[in-house]
Order: sequence, then C-alpha cells, then structure tokens
Amino acid sequence: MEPAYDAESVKAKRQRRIVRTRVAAALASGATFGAAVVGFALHDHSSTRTTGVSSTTATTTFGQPDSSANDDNSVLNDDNGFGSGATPGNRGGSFDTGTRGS
Amino acid sequence: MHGHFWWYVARSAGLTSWLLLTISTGFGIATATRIVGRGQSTAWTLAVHRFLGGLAVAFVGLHVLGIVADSYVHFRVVDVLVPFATSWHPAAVAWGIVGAWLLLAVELTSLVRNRLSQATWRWIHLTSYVLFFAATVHLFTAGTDSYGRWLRVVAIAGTGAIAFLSIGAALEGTATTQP
Repeated sequence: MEPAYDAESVKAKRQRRIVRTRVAAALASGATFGAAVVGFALHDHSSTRTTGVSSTTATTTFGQPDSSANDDNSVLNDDNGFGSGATPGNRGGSFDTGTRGS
Repeated sequence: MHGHFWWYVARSAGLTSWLLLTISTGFGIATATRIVGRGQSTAWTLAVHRFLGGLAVAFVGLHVLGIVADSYVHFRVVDVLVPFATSWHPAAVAWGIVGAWLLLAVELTSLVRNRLSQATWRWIHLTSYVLFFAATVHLFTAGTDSYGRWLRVVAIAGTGAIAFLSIGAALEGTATTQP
C-alpha cells in the first residue's frame, strides 16, 4: 500500500527548511560581523603596541606636500584603519594620530 | 575599543554587507538559471536569495550609520547619500553610494513586484550586476581593509564566483526569465 501524498506535509517541511536556513544565515551574518569588529579592534590594538612609531611616520607624511602625500593610499598600506580615518580628519584640520588605531 | 566603536562597526558592516550581497547575487543567478541546485527547490533558493538581500540592506544601513556616527571621521549625512558630495576620495565613495541606492531600488521593487510589470521589475533587478560591480569597486578603492591579504583573497574569490555564474547565465540564456 503506497503512502498517500500529503501536500500540506511537504509544504510544511519545506517551510521549516526555509526558516532554518534563514536563522542560520542571520546567525552566520551576525557572527561574521562580530568577528570582524573584534578582529579589527585586536589588530588595531596590536598595531598600536608594536608599531607605535607609525604615528609619527604618518604625521610626517601628511604634513609634507610631497608626492607621497598626494597618494592617499600610501598611508593605507599598514592596513590598520589609520588611513581612511586620517584623511577625512585631516580635512578639518584635526588630525590626531593618537586616536585612530595607528 | 570604546573610542573606535562606530569606526569598527562601519568597517565590519561594510564587509559583511559585501559578503551578503555576493552570496545573495550568487543565489539569485543560480535560481534564475538553475546552474546549481538542481536538487534544491526553487522556493528554497529564492527564499535564501531574498533573505540575504534583505540582510545586505540592513548591514549597508549599519555601515552608513557607523560612518556618520563615528566622531573622528567627519562625514555629514549628505556626504553618504549624494555622490561626489564629500571631498574625501569622492569617486571611491560615489561607487558605494550608487551601489547603495541601486540595492535599495532592487529591494523595494522586489517588495512591490506584484504591482510592477514583469519587464520593469526585470530591468531594475538586472541592475544588480551594476550594483555588485559598484560595491566591489567601492570595497577596493574606499575600504581601508582592501589591502589585507585575507580580504583580497575573499574578494577575488567572490567576484570570480559571480563572474563564473554570470557567464553561465549568459550561456544558458535564461538569466532574465526567472524568477
């Protein structure tokens, strides 16, 4: 005797699978976001402690209107979040290397 | 950490939204072409595609909020809404702004899809390719994290996957028929 095809059951099962996937996607997104926040914080903190001299270097670079200063990317190579924060801040004349994860 | 909180939020949300956008775009192309997931139901891939798109919008909102809220980076609201309004890397930021507006357009038209003609919805939805391109250019040109080796690998892999699926869609010739 063949089991009867239960459309409602199949539909409910499919719906549960979609809900599970959505929950998993939301959790994975949140975890990725949280890990990135912590990762950036730790990386910047580590950079501050191990390469403290970079603040001075970067200040000098911004203070000099030479060719390297014209290349905004030149201050981004250390990948510590310093670069993009520094440039807009520089716009307003309040460039504080000590506060931006250098 | 405390003083940099919004700065980290902005960077992390930007990265997360790009990842979500990439996966959502991949699911969208896969759903439309059935390149992958032949064993999966279209309802499931479509549901995942839509949900990830919604999440991407949420994280883009958080990305913009973080940039405006950060006390060090002096971005005004108009700077993050209007292309070329900012003096900091105007072109790089403009790519992100254009991408964000396109994402909003794609999402909103999908929510009211039943009220639009199929052709109108389809053409607007196809701007997702432009949206992905704009978001990726923004990631590499405006992102301070674009120089990290790990991010470069992820970004290249994601872009490669979308390119692969897009080529597959073009070859199959059904990219604009579903969903």
